Amino acid sequence: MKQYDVELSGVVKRFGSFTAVDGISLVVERGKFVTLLGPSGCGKTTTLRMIGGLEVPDGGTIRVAGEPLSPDGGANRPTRMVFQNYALFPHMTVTENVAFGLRMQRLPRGEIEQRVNEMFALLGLASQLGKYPHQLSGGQQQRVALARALVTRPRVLLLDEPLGALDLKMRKHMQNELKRLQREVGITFVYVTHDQEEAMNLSDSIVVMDHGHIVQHGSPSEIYQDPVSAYVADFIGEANLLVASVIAVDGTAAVAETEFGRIAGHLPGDFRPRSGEKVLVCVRPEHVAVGPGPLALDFEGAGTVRDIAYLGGVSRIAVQVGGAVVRADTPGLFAGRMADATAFGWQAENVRVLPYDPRFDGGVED
Amino acid sequence: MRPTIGTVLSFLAAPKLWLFVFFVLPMMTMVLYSFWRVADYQIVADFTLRNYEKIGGNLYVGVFLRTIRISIYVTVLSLLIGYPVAYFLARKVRRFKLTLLLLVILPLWTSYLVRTYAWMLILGTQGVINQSLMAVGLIEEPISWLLYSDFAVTIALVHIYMPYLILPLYAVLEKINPSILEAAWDLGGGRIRTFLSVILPLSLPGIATGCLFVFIPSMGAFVTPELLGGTRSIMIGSIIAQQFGVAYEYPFGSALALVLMGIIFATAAISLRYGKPKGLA
Repeated sequence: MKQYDVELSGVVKRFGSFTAVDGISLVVERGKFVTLLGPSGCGKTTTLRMIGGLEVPDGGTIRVAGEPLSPDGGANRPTRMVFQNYALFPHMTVTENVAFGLRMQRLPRGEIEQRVNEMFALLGLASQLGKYPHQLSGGQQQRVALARALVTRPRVLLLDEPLGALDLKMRKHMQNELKRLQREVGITFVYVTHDQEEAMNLSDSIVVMDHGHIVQHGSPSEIYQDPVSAYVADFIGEANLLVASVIAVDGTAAVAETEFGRIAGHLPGDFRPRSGEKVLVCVRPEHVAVGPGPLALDFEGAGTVRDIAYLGGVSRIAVQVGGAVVRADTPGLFAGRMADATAFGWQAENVRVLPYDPRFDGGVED
Repeated sequence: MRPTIGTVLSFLAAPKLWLFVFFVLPMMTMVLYSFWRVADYQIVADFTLRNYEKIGGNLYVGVFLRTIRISIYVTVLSLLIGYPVAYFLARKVRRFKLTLLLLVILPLWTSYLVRTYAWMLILGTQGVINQSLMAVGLIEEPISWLLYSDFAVTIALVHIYMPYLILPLYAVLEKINPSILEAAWDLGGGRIRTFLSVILPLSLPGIATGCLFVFIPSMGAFVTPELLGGTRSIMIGSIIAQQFGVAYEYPFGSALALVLMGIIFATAAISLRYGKPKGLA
């Protein structure tokens, strides 16, 4: 039987007239690395803070480790938080910071010392013990914050954009460190970020949030390959989103008419549009081929090269087709030139037909 | 363009001159005076240590000790009352914050003298407290030690100087990052332990500054002790004032003032040395 460390049911949180979290339900399996992903203001941090007991929900129930969340706090709470700005105690040494939670649990001195040392070994902090937080680099402060939370052996570790303040290289390094750490300690991590790449790299599953709602919850590959909405498709990776109207639906297959031809694709989940309904056709740039035709693909169109960007591993080509722009990633250097006439196309299996969303009408401009 | 040494110095000339004429010169004069003496109502400019020897006697040591004791009472009481006020203003109040801060500062807009006289009206035998207590029959005759006592001086000085403690303390408490307190809660810290091990150490600089701002003027106070103090609760400020007034003993007054300054400098040095939390750059 699966055990759930975090269970949210119909959870609501309002700040004045603003509804930050609007009735979300979510379960997190024990020992998993789950990421709440979305832009700022989507309610991800509020959700995390409610799980941590730092905010009290206005509605719904939260259970952590099978028990209803108690609002009183105390040293034996099942969660610990790693704060965005680390929130280390500036007047305490690294050792004192890490020992704080254990002192609150009133553990004997010897045990505190032993557990603090275990943490230092796990996180490679042994040379920093007597230092104060301001004497440490951002990455080291991050490790101290992790040690301070993990040393109390919580059931669930909550992380609020913990890598946001680090530079890119350090962030990549700490991502790998976090993955290793989560495997080694084996507890549930609930992680908040707005960085989709970070979410993809770290998570067992990703919860995509938008305006206080969960729009999709799945593994990184599910979310990437089968987004349920244009919002998810656009937020995770790159997507061409083309306005179309439905011509025919057969099971999960649909055909839609765009201004440059009929496109066949798959419908996500239980989305079954009526004939004539406005939809968005979604194709990832890496699934779009460009070059002199014919390309021998399920769909082929013709357009003009409007832009060529060489990104190293791939070249990104913008193809103007009537009023729309289709972006395509081709490996290596692109042979064509600007303003060349070119063919483009894709296989139907890579096409998703998604509900219409006015935010993405007119495609997605970079 | 980099300013040359010459331009910098000429810009500094005016303030330097001002400081020299109104600070350095008077201080040097005081130091000189303290080694001189008075004979036949004339200041005689010869070198003597008589003034300092006089201060070392029992009488003046006693006054200094009482002054220090009362100043410590005033400082401790101000801290005990002012800390909760500053904490409340800095961390609990959202609306009306400015209004409440204004109320803390408001007494400073009234003259020191007026506030001292107000305490006479409150504490005197015909004062509000005694009259009310007698009216409800709790006491038969007025409580005599309310006015003209160390008690009166202490309570009035607390009232007069407490805003100077609240303001720096407020500034420090308000700067404490709220997520640090959330972290303390998250790690299982209850209110009291969080206060003792996080908030209190982090507010130490505010406590040190605020206490100095109360202690220093209390040490030098002379109007309030003069008006509210009893015959036995005389403070050093009054004695110094007398030397420069009726007694016409400028040399002895200068020596007393310099000793007082020495005590205050030492206190300031100690509290600034130990009044900062560890680990703060």
